Amino acid sequence: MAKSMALIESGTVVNMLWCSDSEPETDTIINPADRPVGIGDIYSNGKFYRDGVEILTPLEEALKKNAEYEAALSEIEEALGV
Amino acid sequence: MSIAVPLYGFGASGGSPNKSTIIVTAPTGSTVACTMGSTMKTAPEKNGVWTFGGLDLGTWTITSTKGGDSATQDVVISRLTVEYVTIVYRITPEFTYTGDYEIVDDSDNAISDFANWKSNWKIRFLTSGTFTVTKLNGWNGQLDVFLVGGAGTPTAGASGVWYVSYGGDTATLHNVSVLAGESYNIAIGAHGSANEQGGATTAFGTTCSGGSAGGRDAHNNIPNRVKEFAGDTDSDALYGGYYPAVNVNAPDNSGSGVVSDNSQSWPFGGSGIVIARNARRAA
Repeated sequence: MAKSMALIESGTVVNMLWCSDSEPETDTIINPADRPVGIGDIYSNGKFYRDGVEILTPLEEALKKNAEYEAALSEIEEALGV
Repeated sequence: MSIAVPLYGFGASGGSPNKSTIIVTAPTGSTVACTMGSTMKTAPEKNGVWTFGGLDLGTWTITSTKGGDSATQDVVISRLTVEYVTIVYRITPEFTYTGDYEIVDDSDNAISDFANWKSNWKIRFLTSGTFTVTKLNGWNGQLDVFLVGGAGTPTAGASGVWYVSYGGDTATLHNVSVLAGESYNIAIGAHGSANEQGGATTAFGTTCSGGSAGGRDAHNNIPNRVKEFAGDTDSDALYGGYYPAVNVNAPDNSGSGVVSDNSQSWPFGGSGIVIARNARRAA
């Protein structure tokens, strides 16, 4: 088995490498896990960004949307006095 | 290989009567000895041939060395005979690689005993790592190298409409010189994430770009898949281009793009590969 890892230079993803499952992370080779990272994305403080927006895993994305729906629902309920 | 020639009742090669002889062929300039227990026989070289006569019954050990190469072979003498022994030093390199790899023959069958392999060979570098030849042995240090970049991955398609990603670029190098003790970094391009380009593959000073994410009906512009080394092996494996099955991931290390016509998900392209083989052309 193998995994994709991001090669980082000056805070930017410059290549996506196909690496052994046992390949450890270093300062320049980072495992993005399930995040759909691509060449040109930004890496800063342990997080990946594209167009200024953090790149999340599918699960993190779903949880984020769920939280947004709940917040919107709360606003509606408050407006309706429910 | 040894060939026993029985000499019933005759002396061997003009040596002592009732004694046997071992005739060794080895690379010229070798140091060859023939021993059994504490008995050591020596013989001068004559154009790559050493003749050890006057040997008693028993198991004799032939040792041959030349520079850093060496070989040992036992010869059992159970009757009056002349035995012929041909010494061939190891012709495959010893190496380390920090990533995943496999050693195969030209038809992609695994080679389980590389140390004693006497024919053509290939190393398939499957994941990124560092390659170091620790000992050339009888190999001339020349490689042919085939590289494939990682394939792109398309976005989710639409029913009945193909969204196709591009395979990685390919390149073939001949007679690449490798030095013992020197480390060579090999980067294998990963397949792209959804709607993303694949990673680039780099080895021995050459880079093959990853394929793009492509787009709707992009297959009309994508080159066909190719065989390694321009088809100059017995392997039928295909690389680059696009894998012509709909909504199926391309095989790992194929560097092939993929086809999506599913609006909910997408298949992934294939990661890249580097294949190195003992050079087949005169330098």
